[in-house]
Amino acid sequence: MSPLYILASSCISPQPSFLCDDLRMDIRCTENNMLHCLEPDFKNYINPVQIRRMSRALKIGYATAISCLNQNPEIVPEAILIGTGKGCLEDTEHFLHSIKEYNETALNATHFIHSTYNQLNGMIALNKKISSYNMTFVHRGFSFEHSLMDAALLFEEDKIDTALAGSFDEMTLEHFTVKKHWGYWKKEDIRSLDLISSHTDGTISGEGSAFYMLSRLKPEHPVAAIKHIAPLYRPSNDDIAEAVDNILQIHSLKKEDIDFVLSGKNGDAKYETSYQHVGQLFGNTQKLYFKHLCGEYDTATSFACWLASKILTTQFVPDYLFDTTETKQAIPKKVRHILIYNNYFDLNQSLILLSLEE
Amino acid sequence: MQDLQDLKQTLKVQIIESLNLQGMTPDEIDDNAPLFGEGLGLDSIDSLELMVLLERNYGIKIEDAREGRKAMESVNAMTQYISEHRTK
Repeated sequence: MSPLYILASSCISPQPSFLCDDLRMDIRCTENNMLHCLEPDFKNYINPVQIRRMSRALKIGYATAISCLNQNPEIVPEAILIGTGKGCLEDTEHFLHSIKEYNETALNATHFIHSTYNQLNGMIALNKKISSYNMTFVHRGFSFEHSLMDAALLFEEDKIDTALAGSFDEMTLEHFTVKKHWGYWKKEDIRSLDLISSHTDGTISGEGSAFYMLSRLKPEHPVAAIKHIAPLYRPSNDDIAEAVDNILQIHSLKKEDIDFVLSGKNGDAKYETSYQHVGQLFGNTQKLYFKHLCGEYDTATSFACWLASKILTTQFVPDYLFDTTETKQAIPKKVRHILIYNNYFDLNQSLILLSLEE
Repeated sequence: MQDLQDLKQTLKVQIIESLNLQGMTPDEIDDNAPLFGEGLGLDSIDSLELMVLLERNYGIKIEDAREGRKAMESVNAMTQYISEHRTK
């Protein structure tokens, strides 16, 4: 696939990641199995008439996208590609409750409009007057991956040179409760920072948004690039091993060339074996973790991409990404390749390779 | 039945709540100022929300667009319209 050179990125997450140029953040922790985004002052990014109608997810996604666009104001992206697993949950829930409460009559227009998945795409396009290709991908744990793959396809076909790609997802108390009944979350409350070393069933919920200004052409300065995206639907261990070999072969890499495996391990005992399997495939390669920072959600890999791209461009690997119970290897002098592996409830698993391009 | 002054005050509170006019108080809404364009600066989506407000709270269903435009010209116009057409 065509490399996706990251010209700019922006991320709102449960951590102070917004407008963070490096990864030197004071990490936040919760003890109720829910990680909520740290919200910036949205008034700096959204006009007052619009902000009064927008739900949290829209505000978070819109502010993230606009701050990403603002980093290269001279670039008008030729595509807007957004992945979301659930869209604006709060608006959807509000609309569904109104249907019941008012017996399918007198329903609010705003909640209906905002409950559609492509609302954020539309808002960005209208407000920034970007009338180009515009696509929303709603594929559960593959949503963000598909927005990247669409960018790669458009680049490969020489149709466009730049794209704004990203994701947004929110967690509401109601959705948390529903998924709790299904056994998604841990029965016992844990400290989010202890998630990786937890071995009971269930994980903790999360949310967030990350956006990237992607370029088909390599800029003159060193940048991080997304080199490969491999979505794997219900893969066996052999399928995963084959996909890893395939990625390494295509990019002429050996396993030892991968400096870090950024693992989506989420502390749920049910999925530990798949993470162990990928860990074993890479032997002594240092593993880093991110779900204790952002929680589990459909598009959590976009947060992982943001972390990986920052590590590559700043060459700073913060301590909070390591599992303190594992042996810490010496950090390479130059971090060149990071492979993200994520398992979204066994259904949607993905491998994403990011490299430093000098 | 509420007298017109009470109804007007209640309506202003309902407008602020349903349109989420953050930081605005009922006293800041001019009784005679246009709700759309100038004045309160509402737009077409707000007009849909106001229609919902009338239906839910006063049992009024406006089906003629011209009538709706006239009924929602200002807070005074809305109050008058509600007092004449309300079914609850």
